Amino acid sequence: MQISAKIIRLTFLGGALGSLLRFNMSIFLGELFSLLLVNLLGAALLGWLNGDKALDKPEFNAMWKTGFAGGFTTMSGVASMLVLGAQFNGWAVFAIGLVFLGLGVLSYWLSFQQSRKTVR
Amino acid sequence: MEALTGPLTLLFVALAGGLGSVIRLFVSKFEGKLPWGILIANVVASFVVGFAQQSPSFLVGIIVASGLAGGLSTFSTYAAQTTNLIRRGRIAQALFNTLATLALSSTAVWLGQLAGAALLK
Repeated sequence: MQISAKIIRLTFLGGALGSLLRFNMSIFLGELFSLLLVNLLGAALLGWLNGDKALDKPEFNAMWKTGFAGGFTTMSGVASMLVLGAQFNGWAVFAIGLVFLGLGVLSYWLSFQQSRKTVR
Repeated sequence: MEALTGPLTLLFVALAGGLGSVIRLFVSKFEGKLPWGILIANVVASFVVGFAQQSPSFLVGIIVASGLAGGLSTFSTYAAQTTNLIRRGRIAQALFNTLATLALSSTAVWLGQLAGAALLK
């Protein structure tokens, strides 16, 4: 994807929307639950969008894939939660983190496959 | 709660999230055998979160951590790139990407907290 002024504007807009939605969900659903939810949902959303070849256009990718899905999900939030958890539960927390990253990959992959089957 | 959902806080979180996403767009161009760009974005964002957690201003900390660092880091692209590595049969690289993301991001949060505590308090 070539980076143009339009691509930058769309990425900014999508990232702002995704970040705002994630932030509001963390307030109303609680930090931990919303963190799990946004990341698994966001990975599934990106998998679905990537599975539909008709959507593979630079402007759409900038707004909804790089911007919205990227801004909606957060790896720094996951890392922060793991470091906090490690203070109380020790190194075992990182095994949970590893499982969660695996679930994210699974969420993306299942959604991608389903999208490929559904959208023809 | 009221301060968190105030219109100015929401506006700044959105603007910071947009800015973080644009920085990620540029950083993501660094790719090799591994998706280094996203790995770097996630690690830098994790350091920023740790640093912001030590901010004397709660709201500034929230805006930087949830907005800027949240926008800069991404879980969805990590999942997409790792899945792509697996689909191409590059299992070792996928595993390395996962372990490196987990270990380096967590370490970066911890280092950010130390740096923030030393410089901000």
